[in-house]
Amino acid sequence: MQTISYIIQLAQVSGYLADNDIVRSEFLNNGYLDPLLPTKIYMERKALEWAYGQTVKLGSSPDAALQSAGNYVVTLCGKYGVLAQNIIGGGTGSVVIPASTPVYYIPVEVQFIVDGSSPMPTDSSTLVINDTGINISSFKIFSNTSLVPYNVNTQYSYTYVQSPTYLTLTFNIPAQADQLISYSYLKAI
Amino acid sequence: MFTPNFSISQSASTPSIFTLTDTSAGSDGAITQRRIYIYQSDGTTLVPTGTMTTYVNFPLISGNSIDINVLNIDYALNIIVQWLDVSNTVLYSKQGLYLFTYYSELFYYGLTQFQTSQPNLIDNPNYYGEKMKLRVSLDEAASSVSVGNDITSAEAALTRAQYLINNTILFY
Repeated sequence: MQTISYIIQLAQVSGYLADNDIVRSEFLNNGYLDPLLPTKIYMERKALEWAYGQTVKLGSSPDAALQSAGNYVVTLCGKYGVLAQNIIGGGTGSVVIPASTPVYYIPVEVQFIVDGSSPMPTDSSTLVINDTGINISSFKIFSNTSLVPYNVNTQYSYTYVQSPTYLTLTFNIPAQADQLISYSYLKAI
Repeated sequence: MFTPNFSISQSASTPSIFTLTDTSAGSDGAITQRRIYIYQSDGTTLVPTGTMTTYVNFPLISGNSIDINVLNIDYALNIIVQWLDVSNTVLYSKQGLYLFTYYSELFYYGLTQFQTSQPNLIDNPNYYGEKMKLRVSLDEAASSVSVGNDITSAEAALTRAQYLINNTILFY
C-alpha cells in the first residue's frame, strides 16, 4: 500500500506527464486522450494534500477514508502513475534527476502540388526531406488528403530511409502531375 | 532591540480556533500589554463572543500563545498585533493578511471522498465543472493573499466558494 505523501508526489508528477502527453497528442492529431485529465488529477491531489495536512497537524495516521481517497487518486493517474513511479523512484525516496538535455518538439507541416519543379517532381518515386531531428513515429503523409500507409504492396504506399539529416521516402507508384502531397512530423529541437 | 513578529495557525481539531504565537525577538522593558485586532474585508473587527472591546487583549502574563475562537466560517483576515506601554501608546505594531479555508476545504475533500464510491462522477461535466469552480475559488483566495495581499479579492473568492457550497443541491 502506498503512503499518502507518496501518492501526492505521484499525482504531482502524473499531472505533468499527462499534460505533456496531451500536448504531444494535439501535435499528432490523436485526440483520444482526456484533455481534462491533468486538471482532474490536480483537483483531486489538492483535496488529498489538504486532508493529509490536517492529519499531520493532528499528529495522527491517515484513516481508512483518506487511504481510500489516496487509492482513488492513484487510479485516476492511471498509466501516468506508473510512469511517475519510475521517475520518483518507487517510493524509496530517490532524487528526481532531470534529463541533462531535455528534448522539445515543434510541429512541421509541408504541402505542395506535384509538377515539374516540386520537391517530388512528376513521375518521380522519391521524396527527400532535408531536416534534422525528424521524429519518425510522428510522421504522416497524405496524397490528395488521403493518408498514405507505410509499406503496403497492394495500395499506394511508401518506405523510408532515415539519416540524421534527411528522410528519403520511396513510393511504389510515381507521382502524378497536380497530385496534392502534404506531410507533417514533430521535429526535435 | 525589539523586533515584533507573530505567527498564526488554525486548529485542526477545533477549526473555529486559531492560535496566535508571539514570535518577536529581543525585548523592550517599556512594553506592558499586547492587543490583537482582527479586521474583516469590510473593515469591521472580529472578536470572540463576550468581548467588549474591538480588540483581543493578549496579556504578557499569558505567555507567547493565545487561542482565539472566532472562525465560525472561512475568512480572509487582516490581523494586527500591537505592543503597548502603560499609557496605551503603541510602541510596536505588526500586521499580516491570513486566509482560513478549513470549512471549504473540508467540503471539497468530502466531494473527493464521495467520488471514491462513485468513481464515474468526475466524468459528469456538471459535477466536474462545479467542483472545478470551487477549486478555482479556493485557489484564487489563496493567491489573492499570498501574491496580491488583497483581502477584498480573497474574501470575494471565499464568498463564491461559500455560494457553491450552500447551493450544492443545485449542482450535484
